[in-house]
Amino acid sequence: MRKVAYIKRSTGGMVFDILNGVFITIFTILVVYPFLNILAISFNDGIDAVRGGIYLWPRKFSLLNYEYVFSNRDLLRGAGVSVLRVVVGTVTGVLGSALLGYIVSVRNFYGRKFMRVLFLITMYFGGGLIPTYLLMLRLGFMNSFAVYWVPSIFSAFYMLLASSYIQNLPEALFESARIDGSSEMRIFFQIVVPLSIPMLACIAVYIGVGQWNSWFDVSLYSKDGKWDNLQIILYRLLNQATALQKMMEQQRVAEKMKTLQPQTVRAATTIVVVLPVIFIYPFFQKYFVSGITIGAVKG
Amino acid sequence: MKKQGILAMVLVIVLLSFPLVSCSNTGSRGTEDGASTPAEGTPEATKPASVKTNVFGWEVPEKTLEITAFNAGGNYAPSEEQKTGRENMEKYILENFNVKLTMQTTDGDGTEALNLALASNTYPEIIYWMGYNMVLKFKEQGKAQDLTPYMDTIGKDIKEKCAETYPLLLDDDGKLYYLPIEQGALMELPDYSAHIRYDEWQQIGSPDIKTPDDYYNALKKILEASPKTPNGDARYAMSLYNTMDYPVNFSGYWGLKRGWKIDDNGTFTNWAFTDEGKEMTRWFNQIYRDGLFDPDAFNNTFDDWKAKFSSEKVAGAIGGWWISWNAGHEVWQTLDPNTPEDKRYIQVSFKAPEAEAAYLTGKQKYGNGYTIITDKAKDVESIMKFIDFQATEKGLALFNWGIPNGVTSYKDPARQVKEWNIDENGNWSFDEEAKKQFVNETWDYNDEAVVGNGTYNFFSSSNRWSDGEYCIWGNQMWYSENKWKTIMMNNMKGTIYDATPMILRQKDENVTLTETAISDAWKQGWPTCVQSNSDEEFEANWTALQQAMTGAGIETYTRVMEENYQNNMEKLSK
Amino acid sequence: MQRKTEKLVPSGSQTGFDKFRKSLRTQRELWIISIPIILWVLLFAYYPMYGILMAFFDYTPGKEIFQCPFVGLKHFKSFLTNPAIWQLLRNTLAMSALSLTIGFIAPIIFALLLNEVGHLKIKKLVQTVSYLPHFISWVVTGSMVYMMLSSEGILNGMLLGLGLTDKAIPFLTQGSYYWTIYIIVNVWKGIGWSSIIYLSSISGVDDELYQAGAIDGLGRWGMAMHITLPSIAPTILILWILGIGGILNAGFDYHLIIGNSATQAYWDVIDTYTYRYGVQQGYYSMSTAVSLMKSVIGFALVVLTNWISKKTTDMSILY
Repeated sequence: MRKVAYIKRSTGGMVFDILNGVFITIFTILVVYPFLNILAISFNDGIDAVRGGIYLWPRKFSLLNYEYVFSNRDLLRGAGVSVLRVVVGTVTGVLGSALLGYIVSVRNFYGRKFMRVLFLITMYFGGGLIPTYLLMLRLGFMNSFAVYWVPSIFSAFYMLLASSYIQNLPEALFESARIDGSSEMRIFFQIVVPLSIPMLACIAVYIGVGQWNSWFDVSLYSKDGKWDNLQIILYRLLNQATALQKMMEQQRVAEKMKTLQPQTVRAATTIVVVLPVIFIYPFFQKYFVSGITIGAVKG
Repeated sequence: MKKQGILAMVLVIVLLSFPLVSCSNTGSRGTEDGASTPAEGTPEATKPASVKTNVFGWEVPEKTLEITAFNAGGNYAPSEEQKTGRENMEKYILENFNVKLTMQTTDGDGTEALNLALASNTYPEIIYWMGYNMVLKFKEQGKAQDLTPYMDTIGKDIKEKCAETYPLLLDDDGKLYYLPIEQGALMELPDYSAHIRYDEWQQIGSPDIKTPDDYYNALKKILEASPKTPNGDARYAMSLYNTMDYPVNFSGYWGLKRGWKIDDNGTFTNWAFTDEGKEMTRWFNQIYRDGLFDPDAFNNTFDDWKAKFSSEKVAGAIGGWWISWNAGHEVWQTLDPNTPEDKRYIQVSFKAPEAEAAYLTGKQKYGNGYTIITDKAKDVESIMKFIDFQATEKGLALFNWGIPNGVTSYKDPARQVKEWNIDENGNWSFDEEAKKQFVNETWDYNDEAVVGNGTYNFFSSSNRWSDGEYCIWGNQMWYSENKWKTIMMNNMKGTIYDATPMILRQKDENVTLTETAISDAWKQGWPTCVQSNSDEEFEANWTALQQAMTGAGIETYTRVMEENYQNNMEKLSK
Repeated sequence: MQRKTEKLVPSGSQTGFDKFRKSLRTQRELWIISIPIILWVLLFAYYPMYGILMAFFDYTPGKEIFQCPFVGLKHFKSFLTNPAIWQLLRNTLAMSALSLTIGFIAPIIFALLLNEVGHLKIKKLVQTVSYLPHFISWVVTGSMVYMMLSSEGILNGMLLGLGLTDKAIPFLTQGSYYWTIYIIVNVWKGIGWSSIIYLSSISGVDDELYQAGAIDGLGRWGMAMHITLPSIAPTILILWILGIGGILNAGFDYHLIIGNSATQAYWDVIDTYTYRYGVQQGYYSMSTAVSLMKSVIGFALVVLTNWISKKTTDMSILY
């Protein structure tokens, strides 16, 4: 870590490091344990898991849960749609919000406050589900891929994050580029973007994961199942149980219970949906954990 | 000219003789079917000779009838077998009936999807599995077809199956705008019961269980005999799960009906204001004070309860009739095939000494969901003909037992799954192998889905059929051939009654809000009563419960219930 | 955040509209970029806002809003005069206060602590692992909470085993524990995820600042307090101001899954109440009215807090 080079080691510092280490370790256990628990349950036989009591290790090993998950005909296609959503949604969302963030950071842009307020209002006021649904219908977004990314290109929240970061960039850089006759888009792509990598990476993670996890818009707008993603498949499994709770007639409930998938399948589906994210994530992580120096870009 | 006249006469005679031929071959069953198409013999029946009647006795239309139906049940999450079953059924119906069925579904809540469909005016010809309030919404906006004109002609089988409940289905103007699914009830099949384990009950001497105290004493004796599970964990006498409305359903043991005391004048009193309701709550409280009540009882989801129950941590159970089988021997026998046969639960019934009867199960015959034909349907008549077929016995068989004569199993392509068979003359019979598996409880419910049963049911009747043997549920026939079903039926006799006139279907906004408020009130207040630590505390909590209910509007709600009951009784007596 | 600088364009003598027209000329490209964005937000965000009108009618889906009976402020009144409102407000404010304090500070502290970890690999590993709980759905989280805190759960098992208590503590069925468990579970679920933004801000801090600080004699504590923290202060402020706007949101899925009837007096919040009485019954008018009230209050709080921030720290999100 860069700081180490300049700081003397002190006893206070060492004590702190030890305590910090303990805290981080405990924290890691608390965070990882539930995950390992789900992993264990996912590898356990369904009926056996009903009795509960599985903690870190499967009691009766079984691959049937994963077999069930992968036997879903729509799984591969769903995975493809999920990946496509993440790629398209992240690229457009990051660039869109970053561009918007840049525009509202330009010092004396007359429309600066207007744009900020315009977007801020949208964070708190909305028309609700029915008008939005009708709009998408009228735009022809039913059963389309466009509905997953076009309505989220510009986001007020990421605009604010991006602009708070961009405002801290040295103004002189922009001024000198303008004096050199550079267009705003050029300034954006050649100066702002490279200097904002940590923030953009963070926004990319937030948007990307959001696109990966979203299921509600799929359930609304993907009527014929063509654009189903991975998460909706998981949601359906988790919801088999919900549907049951609403039924009153005992004979129906009894019949449905016989075909309900056990919680072990739900655990397996959770793992399947989370694992790709865990593998891709380190690629983005390096951009905001180890950091960059502004000086390096200056040259 | 003369030749054509003779030809036409010959055709008419040939066509008229068809139903006579199929009716005379009775075989095992099958005399009763609504197969005779009404078009025969009428002047319009000058159809070309290519009009076919399929083995089910249904007149196959020339032009493919296309029906798109929106399944508003919501949370549609089919397994691979169920997906296959639906495709199989669609293919079968197209081949044999020339009807193309398409299903629209929703992953989320069905009512929300219907509201969106209304707002955006996008819905197909048929919507099924609707709730009553949504039916009213569609009807008010003129979007549900008036079906009354058809009920004595094309739809007469439907009307016949609805039998004495039919007047209750009509609205105040005597019109019918919807059709019920799973209308009627098996009056001998209980919904709710108490449970006790057979071998443990025998060990303590098979005592008679006639009253709630008998039941609790039996449980206590069982716990004395084996206070710990095989793993060494403590055992409780009773636990609950959160999808059951306990006080409403279990005040039945004390003679109340669905949580209401109804006297001869039709006056209703809510359980929270009756002595019976208080006694019932005291009974649960006693278990709590003895330390034999699961501390998480009000916290358990069904899965949590099931985990405890299948680990033998709870000796008794109260809830649906099936819960102790689903969480009991079905788990134990799968995990350990050597489980003794008697290690399974049986259903028991008892009633408080002063109670008239244990009114545990109030059956409602309205149906579990409703079907409407919307204003977007262009050919209502043809659709009604199709739905009417579903009301005949062969129709009930086809749509509830699935495709006959065998469908390839999903997991084992060498196996054929079937519940029933039909030959080319229209004689049908229940499959012997399937029957054996149902009776022996070895039937594979997951695999069954490939026969496509229960997918496109726009109407069905839960009643037992005219022969008194068959019904739409495969596992609710031939009780006498299964020891455990016989015990259940014997024990639960007398606990089932017809609650149809009591059911409040029509609710305006105020009533719905009041209902939710009342539900909030007792859902918070009742657990507090049950978990009181002393008599004084109990009395205080009980009064608080009553006050909360009053504040929520129980008075107005009671009047609404009474009025509804009176209306329904009048409709029935007409 | 923007510190005030002198305007490059002379002011005073020109009217607002003149300034606008001048800006259209001199800052043309910015406007060319902005106009499509403005059109986009008008279409996707502002056009659907007509739905807010549902709050003033007895709206039934299938009819146009104006075809429905006009009821004015009826839904607002019925919600505000409802006797349950005090409990709802109490629960909502209590839990969102916890989220805005403990829940807000936790990821910051976590980011700062993680930043102090020397080993890069460990730092990355812990960071990756820390946001895993974000992916676990509330349903699965619910079973986990049950596993940990039920009377036969892990925590009670430990407490009984160590002899610290002789009877299982009813964590999940006694209302007084509810809020504590709420904030703990929410922190567990969100800390890693929320810390990402702080970590990225921290890594954007210019290294030269640290070098200068070392020369000035700052130790690690000094650097964290005087360099790192102030550098991410703008981010913290934005997120907190926006968070204040959400003060009337206090969880939803959490309560539906982990709350039960025994603890309802502590978890019923505005959103869960509206769900039971509004959404589930299909009464869109009622839920729209409540939503509108929340929007107005939330937005007003944001503007107010932002104004206070501008006056005191000269930092604002609007300028």
